[in-house]
Amino acid sequence: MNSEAIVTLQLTDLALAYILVLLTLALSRFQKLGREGELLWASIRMVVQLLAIGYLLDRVFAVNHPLAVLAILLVMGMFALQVIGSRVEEKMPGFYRIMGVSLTIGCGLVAFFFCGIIVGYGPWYSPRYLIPLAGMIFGNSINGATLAAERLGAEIRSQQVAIETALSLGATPRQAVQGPLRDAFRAALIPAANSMAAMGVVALPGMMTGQILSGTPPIIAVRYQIAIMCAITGCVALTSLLILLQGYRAYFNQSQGLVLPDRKGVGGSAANG
Amino acid sequence: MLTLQGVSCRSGNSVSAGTVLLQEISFSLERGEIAALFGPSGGGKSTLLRLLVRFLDPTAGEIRFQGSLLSEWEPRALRRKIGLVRQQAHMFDGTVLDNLQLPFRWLKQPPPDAQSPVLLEILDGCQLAPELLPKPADQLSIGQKQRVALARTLLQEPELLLLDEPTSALDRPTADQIGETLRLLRQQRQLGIMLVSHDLRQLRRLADRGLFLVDGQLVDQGPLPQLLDRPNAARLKEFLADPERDG
Repeated sequence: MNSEAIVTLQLTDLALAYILVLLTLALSRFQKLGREGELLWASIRMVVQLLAIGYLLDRVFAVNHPLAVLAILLVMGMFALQVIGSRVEEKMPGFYRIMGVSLTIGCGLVAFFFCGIIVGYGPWYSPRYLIPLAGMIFGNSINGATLAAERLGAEIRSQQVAIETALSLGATPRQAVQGPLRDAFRAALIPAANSMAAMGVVALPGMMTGQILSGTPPIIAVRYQIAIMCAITGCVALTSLLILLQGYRAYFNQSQGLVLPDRKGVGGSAANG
Repeated sequence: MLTLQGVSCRSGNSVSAGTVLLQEISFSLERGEIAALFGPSGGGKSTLLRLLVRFLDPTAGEIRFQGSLLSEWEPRALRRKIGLVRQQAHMFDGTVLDNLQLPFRWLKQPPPDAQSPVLLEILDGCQLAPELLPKPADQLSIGQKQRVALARTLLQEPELLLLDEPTSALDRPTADQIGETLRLLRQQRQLGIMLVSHDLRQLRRLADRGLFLVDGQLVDQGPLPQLLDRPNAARLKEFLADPERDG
C-alpha cells in the first residue's frame, strides 16, 4: 500500500534492542536499587507475552472467524478485569460481577458504535480492525474503572455521617450517595480529560505512531487517533457511570441502611478522600 | 408506641458471626414520654438508636413501632416517623434554609419557605434566629449546627425523636434551652423522645425514665430521678460514682 516497504525487524535486531534492557539492569545494579531480579522478570514476561499474542493474532487473522475474534476479546476483557481487581484494594460486595457487567456493556456499546458506525468496516468481526480498536477501548477503560470503584468506596466511607444523616431524613440510598457518586465520577474522568489535553503535544500516541511507521500518511493516522480518543473518553464515562450506579447499591442492606465492608489489608494509601 | 422484646444484635450478617452488640433488650416507650439512655461509652447506646431507624436489623427478638413490626415498615416511611439527630450534626451544601428544605425535596414535597409559620415556630423552639436562614450552613458554630440539625428533623414532624448526645457541644445555658424545647415538644405534640446523654444533670431534669446500658445489656431501668438516687445494680452504682471513667 505504500511505495516504501516496511522495515522488518529480525531476531538479531531484537537481540540488539535487548541490550538496552541489559543496560538498565547494569545501571540498576550500579545504583544498588536491588530491583534487578524484578526488572529481568518483567522484561522476560514482556517478550514472552508479546511473542505469544503475536503468534496468536497471526492464527486468528488467518482463521478470520467471528468466534475466534470474540474469544480473543473475551480473554482481553478477563485480563482487564484481573488488572482492575488487583488495583482496587477495597472491593465492594459483588465487585467482579459489577465490573464485568459494566465493562461488557460500556466497552461493548462504544466498540460497536465506533467499529460498526464510525469506522464502518466490513465484516464486523474483521480481526485487523476489531481486535486493536476494541483492545484500546478495553485497555483505556481500566484506569477509569479502577478510579471509579476505588473512589466510590473511599468517598462513601469518608462521607458516612452525611449519607446516614440524609437517610435518616428520608432520602433514598441514591439521593443519599449523590455527593460520593459525583466525586467518584469526576475522579474517573480526570485521566481521560488529561490525556486528551496532552495528546499530540506531550505524547505521540501509540496507535498513530504505529500507523505512521507502517506507512499510513500522518493526516490519516491523526484522524484515527482523534476518533479513538473520542471513543475512549466515551467508554470511560459510560463504564464508570455503570460501575457507580450498580456499585453504590452494594453498600446498602435491604432496609436501606449503609453497610461498610470490613477493611482487610487496606494500606495507608487508600481512602484519603 | 415503641416496644422492644428480647432484642439482640450482632455485628456481621449471620446470626452466628460477629461480636454481640446488644443482648436481650426489652423495654417500651409511650407517647409523650422522655426516656434517657445512658451508660459507659461502647455500651451499645448508638447501636440501639441505629436499630430503631433500621440502619441495622436485630438478629433476634422483635421491635414494634405503633403496633407494627419494624421490619414491616418501609424504611423511608419509618425514618420520617422516627427522627434521628446525631451527635455530629452534618450540614449539607448551601444555606441554613437549604438544609431545612432538603428533606422535602428528597421526598418530592413542596418545602416550607422562610416565612412559613411552622418553620419560624420550630426555629424559635430551637433558639435559632430567622436571620440565620440565608447564611451558609458550614459557617455556623457547632452549637448552631446541632440546633439546625434538630430543627431539620423536627420539620419532618416525627412522632418519636432519637437524640444522640444532642447538647454535648453546647454551653450550659444553650443546652438548658434545648432541654426546655424538648419538654415543650413533648407537651405540645405528645412526642416520644429517647435521649442519649452523658450529662446526668440534664437527664435528671428532662427524662421520665432511665435505661442504663452496659456491654450491650440493659442492666437497670426505672423512673428518674429515683433510678439515679437509689440505684440497685452494682454496675450502675459504680457508673454513678465515676460517670466519666469510661466515657
